[in-house]
Amino acid sequence: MLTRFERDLQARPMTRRIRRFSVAAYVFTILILFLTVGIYLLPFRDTTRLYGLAAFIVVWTYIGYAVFFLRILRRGSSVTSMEERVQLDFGRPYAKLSLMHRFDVRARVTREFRQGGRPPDERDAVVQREAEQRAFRILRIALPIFALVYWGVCLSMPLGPVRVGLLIGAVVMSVMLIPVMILPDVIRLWTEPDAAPEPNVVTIPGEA
Amino acid sequence: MLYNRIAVLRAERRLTRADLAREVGVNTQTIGFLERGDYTPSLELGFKISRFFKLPVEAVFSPEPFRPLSEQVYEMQRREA
Repeated sequence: MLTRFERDLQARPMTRRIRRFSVAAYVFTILILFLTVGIYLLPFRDTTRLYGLAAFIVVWTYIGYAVFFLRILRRGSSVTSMEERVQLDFGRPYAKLSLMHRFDVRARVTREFRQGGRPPDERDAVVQREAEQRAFRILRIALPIFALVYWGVCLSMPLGPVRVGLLIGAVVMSVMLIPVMILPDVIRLWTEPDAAPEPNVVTIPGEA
Repeated sequence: MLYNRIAVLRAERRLTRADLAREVGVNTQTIGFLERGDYTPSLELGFKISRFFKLPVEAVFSPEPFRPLSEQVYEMQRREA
């Protein structure tokens, strides 16, 4: 008879489909939370000085939540499922293990999950690097488009305090865009070593 | 794409993925990805694996698909006859 904890750990491993669904749900949740809080806080904008502080706390809480949630998701997908582990180590199903072996496997899986999934190897490093490159390429295209739209909205506003507020935002965003656009070239120029010169072959007369 | 014979070599030596993974210093799942062709190993890992099997690298990895071992053996026998 398996305990509830064991049944949970035995559940089928996190497949690509489950992972993708979780990520989509996560992005949707974050967007909805931001919108909800934005709409909720908006009426207090001109009446209380706590608006800024509340907005700051909410934004940073969500950023923390976003990072934490993804980390948990990654941990879950990187831990080998209990059944797979048992098959690898003992060559038989979990239900047929002795109590001592069950306890040992459970302890190992739990420890691995707490430590942040399996220790990263070269494939993990490659996958992570490719994901970061892809994320950067997306940002490099999406951010300038977003900034241009923001500038368009800003310039279409009538002259007044709202336009000034938007203008400050647009300028700050454009300034922050510069590092995103130039950092790869800067890093490459900074780190690229000198080209290895061709060795100068000296021909000694009489030896040619 | 780099083809490999890791699954065959592992089966011949009756090794589990975990055994091989432990020997070459990667995760068990990475061996699975290698066998399935979902991951191309680094040169370092390629050399580690072929050294572990005591075979030259080109016997374990190839840019072209490997011919079945039975076919190769049969051809060798035919040539010798």
